[in-house]
Amino acid sequence: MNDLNELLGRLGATLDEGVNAVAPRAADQARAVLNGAIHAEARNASGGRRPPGPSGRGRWSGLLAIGLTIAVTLLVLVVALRTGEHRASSGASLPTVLPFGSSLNPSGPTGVIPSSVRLESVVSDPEGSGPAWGLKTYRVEGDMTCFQVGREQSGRIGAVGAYGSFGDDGRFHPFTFSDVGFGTCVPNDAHQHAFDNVAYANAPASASGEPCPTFPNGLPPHLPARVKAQLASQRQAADCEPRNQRLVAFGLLGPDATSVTYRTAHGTATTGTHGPDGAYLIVEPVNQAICGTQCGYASGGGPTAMRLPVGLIAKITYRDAATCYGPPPTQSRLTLQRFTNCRDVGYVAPQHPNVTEANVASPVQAQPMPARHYCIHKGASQPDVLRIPCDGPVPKGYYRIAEGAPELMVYISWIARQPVTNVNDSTYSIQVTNPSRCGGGGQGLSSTQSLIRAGARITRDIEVPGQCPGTYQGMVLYEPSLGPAGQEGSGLPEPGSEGTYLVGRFSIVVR
Amino acid sequence: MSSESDASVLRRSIDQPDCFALLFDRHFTEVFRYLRRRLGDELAADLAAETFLQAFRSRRRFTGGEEAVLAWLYGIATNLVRMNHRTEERRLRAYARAAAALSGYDPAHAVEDRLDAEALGPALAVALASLSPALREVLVLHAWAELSHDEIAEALGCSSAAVRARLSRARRRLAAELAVPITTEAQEQ
Repeated sequence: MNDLNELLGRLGATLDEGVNAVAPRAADQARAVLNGAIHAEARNASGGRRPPGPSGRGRWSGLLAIGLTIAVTLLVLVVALRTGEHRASSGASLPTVLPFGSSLNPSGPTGVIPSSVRLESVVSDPEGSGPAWGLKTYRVEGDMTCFQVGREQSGRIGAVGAYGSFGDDGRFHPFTFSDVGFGTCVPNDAHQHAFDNVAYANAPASASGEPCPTFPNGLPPHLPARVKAQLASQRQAADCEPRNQRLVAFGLLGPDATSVTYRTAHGTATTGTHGPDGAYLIVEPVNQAICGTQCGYASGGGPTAMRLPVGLIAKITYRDAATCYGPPPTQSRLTLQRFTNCRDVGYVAPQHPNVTEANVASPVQAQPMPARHYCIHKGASQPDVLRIPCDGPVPKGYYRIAEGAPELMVYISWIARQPVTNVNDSTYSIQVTNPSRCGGGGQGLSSTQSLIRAGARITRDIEVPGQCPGTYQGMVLYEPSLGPAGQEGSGLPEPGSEGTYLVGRFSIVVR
Repeated sequence: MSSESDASVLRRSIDQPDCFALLFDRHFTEVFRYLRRRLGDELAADLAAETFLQAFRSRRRFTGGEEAVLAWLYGIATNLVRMNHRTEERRLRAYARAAAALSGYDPAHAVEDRLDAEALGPALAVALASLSPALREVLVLHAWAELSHDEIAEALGCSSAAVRARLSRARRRLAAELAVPITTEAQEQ
């Protein structure tokens, strides 16, 4: 048995080798940089004048004259773009890459497509305790499908206030669309079908929270104290007592799957699949005969039928395709083992265009935005929110960042010829190399974190140090993912080639 | 050390920039360690400095709660790492190759061998490298920076539900890549 955090902790400790020798020097270097900025600001504040950096308008008059302006009034554009939390710099409201949000409104900015919401499967609790269990699926913008799993009541999925959860209030606590319970969100295939398989051998019967931690041999010795305390506390919770756990398995097997046969304490049982994605839901008592070596493991599964949890699933039948047989729970100590005789029946790989520098290239414009004051949208919480100059009245919905911004803000603008989708999971990034007199060196300043339509004009703000005059060379890069969102190495077809593609270069002259 | 909260220090530093040095003293080591694990000595030193510089320059824009300053710093650091994710992946793979060479690790060895946590180090590094940057960052923010789901959400500017979903996916993908039994950690809520 391996605890993931323990494994990661050990890997981290290994990677820490020698850290004590290098940390002091790094700290000295960083402290010097920080002190420089602190003292510069303190000096400027005490002198009661603007920093002599490029934020001053005069510094930029020459720059404007040499053609680094862009044709449109970006300020107007930016204000127009700043209409929602999930701005994508594309002129339209688009969800973030993982389109969750806090809104309960399915037509709200979470990107949930209301007509796609389906209650796919409802099964009784195996102990006959409380509401039934349900699986709900819904499409979200950006070619993804989410599925919620939990207790079901009146068509809603949620958790119950029992078994120690929610103070045993006896009430039903429905999930929002942004809370998938034991479910998750996965990218769709080319035909808008989703594929995924999940099994929790130790799900809390209340359907609240994550699967219970189980450590038959005691807590691993190398866990951080904070984690140990949390694990110990949760293990003692009523919700995580063995009698209050369930084996919950569910998934989407694709449009061609017709039934799933699974092992029970008394043999096998078969359930039909539901809906356009071949949804299934299984809830059983935790029983060694069912979950075999999986008992005690938190989860298993994967995005394709080849990663079905070993032990539980005995057979999957398809229309016009070979039946998939899973190995028995006694066959292997593995939680996960590829079903070598199973294929992703019905899966149609998304088409990924062949990305070349020729089809990502775009002119890149750099527009310095010198101002004494900058403003930012009140709802801004994302790191890519554009700031706007606001020496005059503060636009509605914005607030003024305190005076004394020491950086030169520059808008970088280009055409995204390749889209950013949940499927291609790509990003655009901006990198700048400092003038040699300023120490040279490059830094990544920004990267897109939102969905972007092909052809959209992207505008991002960056800051360059104003204290050091010279020419700052920059470039915009396009970085496609190695595979469908987060599924690298899953066995799905890999799109395009690995690499980073130059969109275009720009330069900024600080005088 | 002062018992004043990070958020209070940050607020005070708006009018008294010197105060920001206290946040540096409190958190530099852990931020640097986090970056170093992900990117190695040289980049970590540069990006740690950049993290605190960006934090200082954007401190007026901090809108988080009393306990959110460290998460905010990790968020800035993580944004910087994101620009270098291919470097991180190369580093993890290089570590795996080196560790495998030293230990004689062979991915084709019997499953029982792979159940040993020490032996899993190289495979874990490779598996981490194979995750998408979005999944990897929530995993290491959780495991290495020891941030809760809410804190990670604060750091990344997304919802707690999104963090949970990504963590879940990341864990399952790691388990699948490693092909060994793996337990996950308790929810930190």
